[in-house]
Amino acid sequence: MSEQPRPEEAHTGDPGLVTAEADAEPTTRALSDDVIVDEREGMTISTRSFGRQTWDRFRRHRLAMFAAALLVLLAISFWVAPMLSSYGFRDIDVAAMREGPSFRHPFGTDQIGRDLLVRTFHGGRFSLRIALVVALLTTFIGTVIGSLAGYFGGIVDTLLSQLINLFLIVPALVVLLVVGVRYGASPNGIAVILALLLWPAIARVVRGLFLQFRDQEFVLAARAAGARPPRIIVRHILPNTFGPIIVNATLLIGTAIILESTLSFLGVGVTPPTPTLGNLVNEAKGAIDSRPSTILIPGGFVVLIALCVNFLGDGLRDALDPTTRKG
Amino acid sequence: MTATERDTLPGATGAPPVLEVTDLVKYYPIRAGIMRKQVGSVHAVDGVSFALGATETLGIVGESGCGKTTLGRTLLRLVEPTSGQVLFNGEDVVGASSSRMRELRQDMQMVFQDPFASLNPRMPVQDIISEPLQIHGTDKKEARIKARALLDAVGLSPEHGNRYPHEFSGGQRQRIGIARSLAVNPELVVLDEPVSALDVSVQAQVLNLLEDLQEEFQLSYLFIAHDLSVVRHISDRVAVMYLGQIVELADRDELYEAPAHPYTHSLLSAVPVADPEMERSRERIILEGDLPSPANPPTGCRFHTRCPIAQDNCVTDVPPLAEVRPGHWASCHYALGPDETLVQRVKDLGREVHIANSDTGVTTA
Repeated sequence: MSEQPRPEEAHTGDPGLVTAEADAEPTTRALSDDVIVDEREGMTISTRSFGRQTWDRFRRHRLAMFAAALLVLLAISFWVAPMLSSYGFRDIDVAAMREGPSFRHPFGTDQIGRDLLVRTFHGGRFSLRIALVVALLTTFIGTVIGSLAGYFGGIVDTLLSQLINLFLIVPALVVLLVVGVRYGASPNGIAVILALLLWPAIARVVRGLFLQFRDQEFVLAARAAGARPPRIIVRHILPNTFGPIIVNATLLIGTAIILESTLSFLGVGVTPPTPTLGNLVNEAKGAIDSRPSTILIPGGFVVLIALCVNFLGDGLRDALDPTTRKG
Repeated sequence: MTATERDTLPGATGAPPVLEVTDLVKYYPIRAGIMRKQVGSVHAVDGVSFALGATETLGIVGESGCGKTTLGRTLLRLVEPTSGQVLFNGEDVVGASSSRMRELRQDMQMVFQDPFASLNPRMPVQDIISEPLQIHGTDKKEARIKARALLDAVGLSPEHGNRYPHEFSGGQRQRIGIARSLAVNPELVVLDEPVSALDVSVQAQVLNLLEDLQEEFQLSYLFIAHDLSVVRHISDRVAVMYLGQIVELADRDELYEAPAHPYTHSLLSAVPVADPEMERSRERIILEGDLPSPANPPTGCRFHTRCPIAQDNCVTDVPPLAEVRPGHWASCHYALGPDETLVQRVKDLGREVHIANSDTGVTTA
């Protein structure tokens, strides 16, 4: 057999795993023993599902687990924390302008007396929401176009690939500046524009995966069974490409957060007074010497989210990639 | 095509054939340059004709790259043929509309070579087996019940239907592939090297299973392989392919005991003999040179570049696949007689050729 010994089945190699599994799945172990009774080919057989194996691999990735936990915590606090404050993000406290951190305003206030804690957390909420919308929309567009190009090949591929290349060479920042200046923008508007600029990256990945899978024997078998292209794409190839797609979608969240901050900092992102992390940095840029915390706090959140997302993406990549199956 | 022509298809027997193939050709274009201009073509299958009778097994053997797999895929139109005719129960397959083709696929199925690549890793086994049924309109529940019965029929436990392919061994996966091909109750199954990826002990189990299933479901097999002993075990008749063409086709025992084509002869002599005495004393011809490129096949007889008994006209004249003895077709201008060996013929011609024998290694006679 051309296959090397498949690492996920070599239980004995990894002491950490044996303990992790022994308490987890005693019943399936017994079942897997009866699978190999009739035909021993020097292989032990693992009965864990793909999802289960992925999770086992992922949770051993400490940094990714930590990043995932921190992201969840951040998201929850972005939604919950502003509700606990008595200030809204537009409320102005004229008695307290340009204040430093205090008990009433833990992050201080801005130049017109708005509470910076509330604005920062609201900003995080808008930024994260934009990033999630961008990731979903980008993945959707990229997957549809990439799978059509990769599966059908030929003239379809040629046309779609040219479209992908066209979008890839568009100077993103210039387009964003022009559109932002002309139309201003709501959070959803910014998300749509970012998605329109970012989908080619996903489309190329998905196209490559489809090229790799469309001549595999299991796809031929589906064709031999009489399956039509939609069924083959959706039921056979797509499930096999989920890993890389999820990883790329995750990493996109980080890219989107940074891009949105950049735009808002340049003043062409989400229109004030709606706070985003980028807007907050922009509004505070005059105070970098006098009150650096007003810049460092929202900037720090941008960095934190982007870092977490990247660690999470790395962890997912390792966990979903079958060639690194250590579990 | 006239009736007389059809009668002369190599391998045609008295019984009505399930599959009749005439002059099947598949060229793959070779493209180069920015404009992707076609600069040549790979002659993967080049004028193959044969007939396959009902409930019969026709073995197809040949070296890697001789076009066996392409032939199998072209017959089922998983690869579109360049030209030629394929009749399935008298119906034209090549010209069938895509909807008619989909219906035909219920009767013509395929088992693939690689048991690791041929099952979707993200589908539970019962879905893999029942999918062909669902595609052809059986409802999900019923299809699953049938899948359990099929698992049982191929010697697996029906309870394992909700497991994924990676939970099975190579031999078990190949059984799953066989079960999938049988789900729609086909008449013809193309078996593309179904056991070559398996251990020898498991090969025997799968071969026996295939024989049992053939009897149970009245199947016709086109059995593609490169292992001569496996093909001899399972086939009724055997066709030998070289560079996209059938060079010899005969009943199994006739082909193995009295091959007429020098290529078949040298292939068979490459199989080691179990008896060490015999193995030491026997002489065999070692083919010289490599398989020529199918993008640029030799003129005349394709085998002439490596043939130890080639004459001048072999370089220019294409030998037809002709019936050299009753039921025995070979494409050679100088086909060997029933009791003649290739070594004998070479010596008669007074040629110098490398003859191997285990005592002496390679010698020159």
